[in-house]
Amino acid sequence: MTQQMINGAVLCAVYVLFSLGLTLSWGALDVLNLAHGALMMFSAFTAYVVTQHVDLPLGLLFVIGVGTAGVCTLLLDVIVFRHIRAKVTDKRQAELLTLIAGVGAAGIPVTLAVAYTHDSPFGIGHLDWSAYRLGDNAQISTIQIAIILLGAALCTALALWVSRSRTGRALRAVAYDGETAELMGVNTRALSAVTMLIAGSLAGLAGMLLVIYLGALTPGSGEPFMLKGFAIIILGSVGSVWGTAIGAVVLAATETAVISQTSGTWVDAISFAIILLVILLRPQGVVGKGLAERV
Amino acid sequence: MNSWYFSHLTLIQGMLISVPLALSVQIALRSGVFSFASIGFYGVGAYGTGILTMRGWPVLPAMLLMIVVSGLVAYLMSAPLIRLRGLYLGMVTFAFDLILTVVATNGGELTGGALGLLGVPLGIGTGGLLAAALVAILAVSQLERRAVGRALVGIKASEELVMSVGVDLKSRKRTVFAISAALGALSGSLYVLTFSTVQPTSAGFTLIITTLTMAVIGGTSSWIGAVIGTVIITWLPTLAATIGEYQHLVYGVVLVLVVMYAPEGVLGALRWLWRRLAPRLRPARPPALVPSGGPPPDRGAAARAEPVPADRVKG
Amino acid sequence: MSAVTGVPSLEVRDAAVNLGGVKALDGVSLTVQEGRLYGLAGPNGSGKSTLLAAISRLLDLTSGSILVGGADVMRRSPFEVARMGLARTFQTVRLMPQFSVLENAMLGADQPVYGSSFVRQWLMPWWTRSREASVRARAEAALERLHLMDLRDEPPLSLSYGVQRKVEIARALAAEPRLLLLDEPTAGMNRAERDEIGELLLRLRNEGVTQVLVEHDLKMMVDICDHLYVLDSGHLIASARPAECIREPKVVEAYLGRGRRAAA
Ligand SMILES: Nc1ncnc2c1ncn2[C@@H]1O[C@H](COP(=O)(O)OP(=O)(O)OP(=O)(O)O)[C@@H](O)[C@H]1O
Ligand SMILES: [Mg+2]
Repeated sequence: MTQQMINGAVLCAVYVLFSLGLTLSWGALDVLNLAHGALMMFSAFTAYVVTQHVDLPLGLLFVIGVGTAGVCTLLLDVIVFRHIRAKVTDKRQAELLTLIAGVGAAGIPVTLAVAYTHDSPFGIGHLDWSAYRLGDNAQISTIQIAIILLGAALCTALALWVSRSRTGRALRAVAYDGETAELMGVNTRALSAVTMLIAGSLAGLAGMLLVIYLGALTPGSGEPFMLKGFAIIILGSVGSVWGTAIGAVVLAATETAVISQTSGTWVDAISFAIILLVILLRPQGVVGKGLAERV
Repeated sequence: MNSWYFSHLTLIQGMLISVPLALSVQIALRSGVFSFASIGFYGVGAYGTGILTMRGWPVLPAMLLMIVVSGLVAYLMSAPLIRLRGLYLGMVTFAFDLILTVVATNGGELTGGALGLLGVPLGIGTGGLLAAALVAILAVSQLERRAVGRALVGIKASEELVMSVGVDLKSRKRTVFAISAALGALSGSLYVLTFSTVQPTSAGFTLIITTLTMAVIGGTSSWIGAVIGTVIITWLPTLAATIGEYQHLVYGVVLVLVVMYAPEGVLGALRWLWRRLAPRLRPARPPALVPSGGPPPDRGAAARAEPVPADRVKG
Repeated sequence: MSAVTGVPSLEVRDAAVNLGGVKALDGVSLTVQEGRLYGLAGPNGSGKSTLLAAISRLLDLTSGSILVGGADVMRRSPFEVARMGLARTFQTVRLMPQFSVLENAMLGADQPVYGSSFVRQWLMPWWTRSREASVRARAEAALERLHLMDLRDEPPLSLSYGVQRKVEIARALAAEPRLLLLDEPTAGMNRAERDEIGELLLRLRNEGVTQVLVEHDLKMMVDICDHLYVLDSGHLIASARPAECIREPKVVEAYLGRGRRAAA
């Protein structure tokens, strides 16, 4: 039981990191980045390619992995999404094109990874972590502790950033009404760049932590994570940091419970069940307030 | 000619199979329904038809059953979905496609697990594929004509407007959703009957990329665009031998570039050309296919927003 | 069309609409008798467009009710009230850029076709084809009334804004409505065009079409309307014959008082 709670907490922390990026860009910029999962996988993949050629300390690998996902997401925004937003005035059409562009962009890292690895799992080593015994039949490793702490710390930091900082306030203003915010002197371009950089870096961090924790990822690992990310942000309502945390706790807890009771093959279906339930029962999500409404 | 035909048979078959699928995405996008669901129903059609024919069902009833079931299921599913705002609908239907991969992988004996179905009896020839593609084109092209076409174009431009002229928007969108799913199922059935196998990943993420590229590159404003896109995407890999394993990377880049610089696709470019050339070829005015001016000038009161926020619009 | 039986064409009872915390309408009640031309006036942001959106069911009332031809329409969809004979124009012109002027008008004239099942429209093309001629005839008749026949094949965005508004009106007329809601139909038009629209509305009135006209041009309203309602900040502040109405102190204050205060 203790062991399951530990596993659940680790899962939850990774989910939080992954979903925060997805929900932030959607809530603030109306960008649902369908390449988010692919870029999460790509961070670990880049680190893996680096380890194939040089031997670098883990810290540096993290910088490379997180940086790759962050910069790729930033470039995606600067080159593609911003172009669409500037050119297409109809908001619905812009959203649709962004969605399609995201699918196209996701094809690039996935294909590279498939071609390089011949569609097989890859890892970056660093599997030996000292473990501490907790009670009779439970243990926790340093990497697990690190993941849980990172998840909690970054989630809190992001929540504070959005609610307290000047930039965070500007972000909420943009989420509420982009045009007015721009008129009031908010630099929406810089803001969207910062948001996307943070969003991508969070995905990258999730990817790096995951590849070390699980030992390996596959080129297709991003797809089930998109499902999970969707379930979490729809549970927690789009744009809300704490909502995302709550959504991640619910999903991780349910998944852990299901894994412990069944063979676990259906675990990815839980996300979809959650999505359906929320849509049918409470379209607004459990927290009920997004980034915009809290202005 | 004959030897050319036989050496390219797989491509020709693949192209004919893709036509209904590209059309299924095209009609959804054209009607302002952000749905990727038809790609999931491609999987449903492929697995369903495969499973039924392997259990001895004749081809045609198996196929028809899967198409009808997919359409009905989509119609029922669409009731809550159609109320969702754009991005949510995109997200949920994307999730629907991904979850079907999970279901197929975990379906045990029925779906053959990760290996998928193998040895489905071959049930259709190239003639049959051609006939199916033509039927799909005929059905979709009828959605672009006269009153039906005017209303569907209208839905994308302004839902409030089409409702205010008397179009039952909700039922219209639900029907489009169902037609789109049925076309997806048709395409999947054709695939499994032609290649006798289907894997969980057959209807996964890469199929979403390929199909979207087909629909968008050709232009979503008409069925012609979907057909043009299918032809281009089918024959592109043969033109550049190096594309090979980087096929989906190329599609991804192409998709992004088209969305950025030519969201109207090839069809949009052709219309643009026609507008340029037509006045020179004949003295008459160009056809009224494409807007020729910018947005109307801002004239104070008239240009201010109206109190019908998009998300409060009833359906 | 039924003769006047004492049932008003349109009745708004105690309507209220909250839009993001703003009371865009607050306790508005008014009656529109069949075959008359009503004016709906009020300063910017007073709730005129909101009221039209509520009547055409594009916007839900927070409370209150609306009756069209005596029937409560609060549970009906926009398309259902449209099929009851209600047509409208929008304050921001909504024309399909990819359609010609004629096709835009035909979108309005299609209504009888929409009334049949979608599957029939789709899978029985001969059925819609047999109706296409009458649809076109009605659209052309509407364009004719607005002297737009010369522009029938033109793409709408190539036209001046005033002409685009006329196409918008033609689309509404093509539905042959019994109740017509017009939201600032003459904005962006010159004097001559305004007069032309004014005359057209009067002629429609004499043909028995009930109309609710939202306009900022008070002179035009006084000239052509049978009755004037004035809104201010979501409240109905006046209801009278036009000439008397614009002299009511409340109305003068709503229009001028605020202007004076703003100028000071
Ligand atoms: N989408 C919206 N969200 C929130 N408030 C809105 C919205 N649309 C309009 N409002 C507010 O509702 C009130 C009434 O607006 P409405 O457009 O009905 O006024 P109007 O009388 O038509 O004005 P105008 O003459 O400028 O067209 C205004 O205070 C406006 O700010
Ligand atoms: Mg108005």
